[in-house]
Amino acid sequence: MNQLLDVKDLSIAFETNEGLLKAVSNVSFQLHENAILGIVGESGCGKSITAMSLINLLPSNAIVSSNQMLFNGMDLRSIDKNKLYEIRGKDIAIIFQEPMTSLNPLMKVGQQITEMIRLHENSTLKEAKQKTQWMMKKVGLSNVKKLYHSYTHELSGGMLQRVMIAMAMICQPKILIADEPTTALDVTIQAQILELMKQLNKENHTSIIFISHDLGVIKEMCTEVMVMYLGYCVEKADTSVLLKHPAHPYTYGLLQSIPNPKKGKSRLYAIPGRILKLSERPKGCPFCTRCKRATEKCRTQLPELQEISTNHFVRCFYPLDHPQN
Amino acid sequence: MRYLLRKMSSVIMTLFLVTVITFIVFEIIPGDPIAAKLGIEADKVQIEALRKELQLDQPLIVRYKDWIGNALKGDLGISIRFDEPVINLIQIRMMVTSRLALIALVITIIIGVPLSIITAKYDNKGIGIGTSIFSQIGMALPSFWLGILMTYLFGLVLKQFIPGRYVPMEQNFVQGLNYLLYPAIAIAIPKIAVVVRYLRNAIMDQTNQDYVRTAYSKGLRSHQVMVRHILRNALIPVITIMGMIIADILGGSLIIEQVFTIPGIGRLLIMGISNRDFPLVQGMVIYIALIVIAINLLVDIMYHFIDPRIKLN
Repeated sequence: MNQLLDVKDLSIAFETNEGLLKAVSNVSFQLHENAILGIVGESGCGKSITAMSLINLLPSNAIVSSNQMLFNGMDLRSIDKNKLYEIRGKDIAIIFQEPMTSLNPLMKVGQQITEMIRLHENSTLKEAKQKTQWMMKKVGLSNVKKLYHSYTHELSGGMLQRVMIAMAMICQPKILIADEPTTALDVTIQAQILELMKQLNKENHTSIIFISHDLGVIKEMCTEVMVMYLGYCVEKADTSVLLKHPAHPYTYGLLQSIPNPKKGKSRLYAIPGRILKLSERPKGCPFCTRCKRATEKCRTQLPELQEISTNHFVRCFYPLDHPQN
Repeated sequence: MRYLLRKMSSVIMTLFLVTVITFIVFEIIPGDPIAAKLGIEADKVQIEALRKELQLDQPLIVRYKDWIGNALKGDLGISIRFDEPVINLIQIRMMVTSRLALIALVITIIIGVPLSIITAKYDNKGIGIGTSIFSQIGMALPSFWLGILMTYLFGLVLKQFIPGRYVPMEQNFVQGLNYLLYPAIAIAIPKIAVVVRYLRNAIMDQTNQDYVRTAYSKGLRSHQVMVRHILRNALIPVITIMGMIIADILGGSLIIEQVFTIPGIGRLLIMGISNRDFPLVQGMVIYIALIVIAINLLVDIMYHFIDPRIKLN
């Protein structure tokens, strides 16, 4: 499998009134062709901005640094502005979390898709319109002629997310960043949207970076998973490995918190403690304040990301399910 | 349809109230149109004759009934001071004021809108702070003061026009335009300040919206995002302000017309009031009320076109 994206030691900080806040620290990941990489973590752990930094969609007070950010052999850190505008939308497209607010309320939804085509392809308005309607049909919208002329307030959240997907997929991007695409939707619609994305991944060979706080959804979707906590990558592995042998206590906690109807009436598990603010990040392991197994070493030293089995990385001094412990 | 009916009934109600109030106010305030017309030394017979002719011997209600009856037929009566039909007087002055208003409005828009965009874009940098200060001062400046300043500077020092004179556009287009341009600028400056203040805030509000991030993610350049996405959304709250500005200018910039001696609606109104020329004032009050109503209607309709979420009913 070819590597499409290779990011090494990505760090992101924000300049704020309270000083420099480090939001992402030394995150490395690769995305292969056809793969679906899941990034999972609680809100504020840096998963969205990690993805947004690839095409420079961060607010202006963000400072991004990395050792490498290769996309298709091209270094994203040093490309010029024109190339960046070309990559946005055409090579790397994004689906956002809130379809209701992520589309322009004053523009017909069809026009918003057509705008994308006209921006990246040389086609007449008529061709672009036809392509839009074809794509809208493909993502499961019916009565597309009428829908083309609708406004966002006239459609449901599920329909709007389909429009968003149609818009993101219309130029057949190599990478699709899906930033919690189903969080704002009803559960029944959620399954349909996930199914649609999987189907598009197969048909168009589009790689997906799937961002979610829900390991249950990640389990259904992704080939690989990266777990993030307070800006650190704490564990990274193939999905099946991670689910069977979670090595980081945080991953274990996340897995425990997925409701399981088979277990009967047991109480839902919750990881104790609260998520820290970026400014109160501990000196040692980021998770040490909430970890039952934490020792003095955890509180003072930051564990390195280590490979405990092939392609299974974990940032913990005392990984679970490991022969040494 | 129901919208129109409801709107019409409120228009009629407003006009009725406005005319009643001006009638009553004229009854209360001191001053006499006859004295204003004939002078203090007129003899008794003359005064009595004119009083009868103007029906001033009749009670208020009767006079109002007569007046409104005629007004409904389109006859606003004859000005006491000018001995001319009120409608003619207003029409002639209206041409002047509407030209002045149009020029002022064009200046306000072509300077106000780009300035707002720049201020919003460079919020915390030199330009942004500079325009913020300008808009703060501009809003505080009374336009008559600007008018006096400009009369002095462009009229007396730079000799661009002769203060106290007015050349109609029909006579000499370039000269006429010149005589309207300076008062238009004096009107426009405070209005630009208001537009910048509101539009800048609206643009900055919209810039943080999710759909703007989506627009960037599509690969649009920042000027495309501004023109195609942000500006239209930002204009929605500003339309109301624009409507108020237009009504304000069209209703006669009373003081500016006085300062630049432009024979427009504003000067006519002042003359009418100081001469207690009640048919004239009454007619002008109706005219101004109609303008305000028409502009409000226009704003409603524009909302409907710009924002698909708003339905007229």
